[in-house]
Amino acid sequence: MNDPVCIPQLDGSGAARREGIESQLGRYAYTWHRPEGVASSYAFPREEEFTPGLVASYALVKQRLGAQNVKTGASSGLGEVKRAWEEGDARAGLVGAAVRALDSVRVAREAVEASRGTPQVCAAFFDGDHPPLVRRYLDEPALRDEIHAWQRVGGTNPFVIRRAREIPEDFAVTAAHFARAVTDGDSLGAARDEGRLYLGDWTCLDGVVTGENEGERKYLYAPWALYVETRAGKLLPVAIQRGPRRGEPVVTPAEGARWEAAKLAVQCADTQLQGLKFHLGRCHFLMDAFALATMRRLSDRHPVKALLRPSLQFTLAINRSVRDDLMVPGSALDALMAPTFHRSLDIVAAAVRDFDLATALPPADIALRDVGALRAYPWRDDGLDVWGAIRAFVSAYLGLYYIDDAAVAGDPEVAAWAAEMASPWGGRLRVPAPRDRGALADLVAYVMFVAGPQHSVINYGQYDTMAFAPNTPMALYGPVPDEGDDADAAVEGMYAPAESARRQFGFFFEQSQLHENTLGRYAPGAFVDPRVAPLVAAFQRELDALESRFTERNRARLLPFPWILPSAIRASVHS
Amino acid sequence: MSAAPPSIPQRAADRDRRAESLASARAAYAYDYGYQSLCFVNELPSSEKFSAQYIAQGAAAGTRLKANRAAYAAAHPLETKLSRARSLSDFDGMFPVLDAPAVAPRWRDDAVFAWQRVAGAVPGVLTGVDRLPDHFPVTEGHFARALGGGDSLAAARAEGRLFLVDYRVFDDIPCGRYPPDDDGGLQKYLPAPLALFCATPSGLMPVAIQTSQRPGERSPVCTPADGARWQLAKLCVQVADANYEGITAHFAETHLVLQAFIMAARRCLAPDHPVLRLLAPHFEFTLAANQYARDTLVVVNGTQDRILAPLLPATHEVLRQTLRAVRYDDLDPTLDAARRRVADRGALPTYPFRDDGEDLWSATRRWVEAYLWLYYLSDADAAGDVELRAMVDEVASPEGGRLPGLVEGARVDTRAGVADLVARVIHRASGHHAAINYNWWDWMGYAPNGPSVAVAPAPGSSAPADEAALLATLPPMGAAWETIEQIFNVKSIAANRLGEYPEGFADPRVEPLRAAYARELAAVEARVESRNARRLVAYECMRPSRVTASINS
Repeated sequence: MNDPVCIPQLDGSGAARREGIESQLGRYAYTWHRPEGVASSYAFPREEEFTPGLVASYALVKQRLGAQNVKTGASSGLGEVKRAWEEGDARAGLVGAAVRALDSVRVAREAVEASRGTPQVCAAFFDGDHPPLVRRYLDEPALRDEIHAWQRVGGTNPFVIRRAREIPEDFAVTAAHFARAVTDGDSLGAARDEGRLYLGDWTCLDGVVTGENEGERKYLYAPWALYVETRAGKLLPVAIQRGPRRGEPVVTPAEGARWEAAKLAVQCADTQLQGLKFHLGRCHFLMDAFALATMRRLSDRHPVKALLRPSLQFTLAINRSVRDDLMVPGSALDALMAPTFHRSLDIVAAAVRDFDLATALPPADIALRDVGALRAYPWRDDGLDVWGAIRAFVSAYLGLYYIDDAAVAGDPEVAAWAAEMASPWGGRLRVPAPRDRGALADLVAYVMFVAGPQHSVINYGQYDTMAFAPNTPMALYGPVPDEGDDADAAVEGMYAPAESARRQFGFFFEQSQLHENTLGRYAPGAFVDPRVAPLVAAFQRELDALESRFTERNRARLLPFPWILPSAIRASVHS
Repeated sequence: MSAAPPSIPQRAADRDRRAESLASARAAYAYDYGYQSLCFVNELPSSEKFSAQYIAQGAAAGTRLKANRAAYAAAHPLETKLSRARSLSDFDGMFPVLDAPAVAPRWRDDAVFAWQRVAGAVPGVLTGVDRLPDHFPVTEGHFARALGGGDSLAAARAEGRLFLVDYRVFDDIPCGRYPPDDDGGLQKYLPAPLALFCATPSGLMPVAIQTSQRPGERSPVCTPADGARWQLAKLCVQVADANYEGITAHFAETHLVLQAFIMAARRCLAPDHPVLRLLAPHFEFTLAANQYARDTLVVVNGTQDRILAPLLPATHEVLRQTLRAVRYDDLDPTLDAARRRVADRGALPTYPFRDDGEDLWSATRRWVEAYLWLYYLSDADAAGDVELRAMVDEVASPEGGRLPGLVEGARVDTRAGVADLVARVIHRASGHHAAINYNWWDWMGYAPNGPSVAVAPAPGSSAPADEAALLATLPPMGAAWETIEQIFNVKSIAANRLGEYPEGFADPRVEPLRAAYARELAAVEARVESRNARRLVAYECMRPSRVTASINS
């Protein structure tokens, strides 16, 4: 008998192997309908479904959220509404009482509708301790600019910032603006010449039409923000322009409430990219396409499939639920995200369509955004360390099966796998066929990296940073004020209605709770080839070392970056 | 219909009432994209529902089908869904009660094969070419084998007499099984062939077929000199054509195209708007027919899942891609013929779909213009019509019809532009749809000619090609029956007729114009009849008396 796991060229039972693949092709199928043009599953077999245990955990999360809402609702005044509704229901048989109850509900509801999800209101949604970012945001108002900038490098969307060797022509920030923002003797020219300017660019959101929620119009901007790394090594915001057209006002930290409004516009724009582009697009649906091609085109005896299976666990199931429950009109996504339902889905679709493996590999991404010199960049530092560990493990593992590059080039299953990822009747991804061991290791490691650390940072950091709507508004409910407007009132008006802010809290709470697997921890029997065990052990040792290193780094950071601690990295996208 | 004469919005007597009626129309016609990201109406307004008369027509067709099937079943008691025809005559026996499709006796003729490109079930794919795609390497040798001496590929090319049909939309498409819910069923196959035709003094003739988009041993270039292999190659083209009918030419390019216009018109034009008054009869039952199709045909294990070849999600993908690709100018048959380079009567003298279609089109265009001129007194009136502008924008809008190409270049700021838009919508709903819908039975009701279900792949150059291979490719009897039933139902329902406006017009000035239109249509009818006398096969589906005013089946 042959080795149970081997590349197809060396498989003595090729016919049985091909038959197995044929049967996979019948059990897994693609559709491309939502978001339009994006590959996802039309059919998959039972073994890809959530386990009953996982379904139960999810129900428990919902229950906990409900209990928590009732508890925290009381302290923010919303509990009265809930009680009034319940009383109304209970007395529904008695017309007069019901009318009175409904009237009291109406009064209470109107009171709540008038209330906005201000920091104070939203702080009360948390049951128990606030996450560190929220705590410092609430306790140390003087630190808010620094926390704002920190989220470009150590939040749940650390993928946008890039070095600005030049400032975009239509971003009209001047030396005078800079002088108002930074008062330590630094200058715009010096910062630029020394390569200490960084740009946050959300102008891709220009023209995105916004929807309505709870009868209120939602607002969204497509801003630029300029950041400087001070000579002391601190990243601070310098100026924000709300849109990509010259002539739009440039606002600096010296502008009080107008500055707060400008930061809200940035944080809201960033929340769209976090959720739609990087989370749904570049994690969930990207992994769905990889999962389908892997399950269909690689034999169960293929070493790449054995390695990737844990990274794709429950991915098809969660994405079907995302597509059919979340990507529908009336869902939390529709209600809370700023764009209209269709524009939100269009952003997800564009994220998948524009994906390019060549520029997405972590080292390439860091180089492309020119952010190697930033002194503090938790995602870059910890991310590249984890990437290195994964890449080394994958490379050693593949070395067991591919003795040379020709073995990769000659592997028909890998060729069919890659072809299907790129095919219009398959994944539609910009992924070239790997022709040598390096390229195959990059591709496999990338899948593990996105399913693992990248998604963990994006997903599991959400409760800590994004459940608190005033920090990361999913939509704005009023316009950014102009000079001369009552800016304090405008900021208040930009906050979501309290009920929506609470819904946002629950939305991110739920998503951060399911933890089914861990990177590098394999179930017994995951690898039947005995040669793999020592490689796994070495991988685990490396991850343990990184755990200590990251813990150490976190002590010195403005805020911890805990979601990429190896013990916290979930192996697959399943939440 | 309200009795008040229509008005464009800037001349509306009671603007508040008009705004109210628009608001309630928008509520009644809410978009629903839940089905496959296609735009449907959320809840079918009762005014859009099928009438009792309509339902009776459908029931009558059903009764005839049942009688036909019962007569057949009595003679074939052991037949199952997966039974295979033992000879081609088994398919001839499927019409004990119904009239057999016209093609049945002549389906093997090359001239009839070519005729279907200009007057068949899918008459709008043929495209003039001055050079062949690199992946379709037809040589002078092939040409000589196909058409004999005297003519040449080079001469035909120079004279603009080469025409191509290309089914690349199906390249590599994943296919399902028949029946889809049965693991023991048969794998379906859908080729993506290319076929070259040449206009000769004796009419359009086929030159060569390649059964896939990739030249080589597995799909060599075939010519009429290749005997049984040629018959199989033609069958590949017909299989692709039958699927193209079901997905692309019919459901996407007529039903769903109209749906986008109907939704936008109902939501953006007040009931008193002269354009909506004119268009409403051309919208009759279309939304209802489309909801019905959505809920019964294009669903898991529905008719399209069963009798079209692609896996259902791939069918849906082709639907979406086709819809996104339809351009505003495609709706004008003269511009469409020019784009496809088939407008030159010298190079391609006989093209019934083009010729009868353009006659219908110009009659309709003149009528629309005469009607609209009653209300748009100048270009300024057109430019100031905010409702019409909103309708066009909504067809394109991501929150509306999501079909920017469908109105790309529509100029509703001039009177002529408005007339173009309205006439194009009417022609697509009437003449164009009739050509696709009411001609289907005659060509594809007969399984050997155009089966949408093929259960063997196209043979490579080494595989045997004979009558047995032909039979092995043709559908099992169950699929053939389901196809017959579907197509017969569709051709049997015709709820209205072009040029007839049974509810009349509130404005007395319209009637003389309508009467003139009726006279023009009668003249078109006469011309079609005289052309039919000279045609290889009479082209009946675009005779004005056979053309329905709206898409209703």
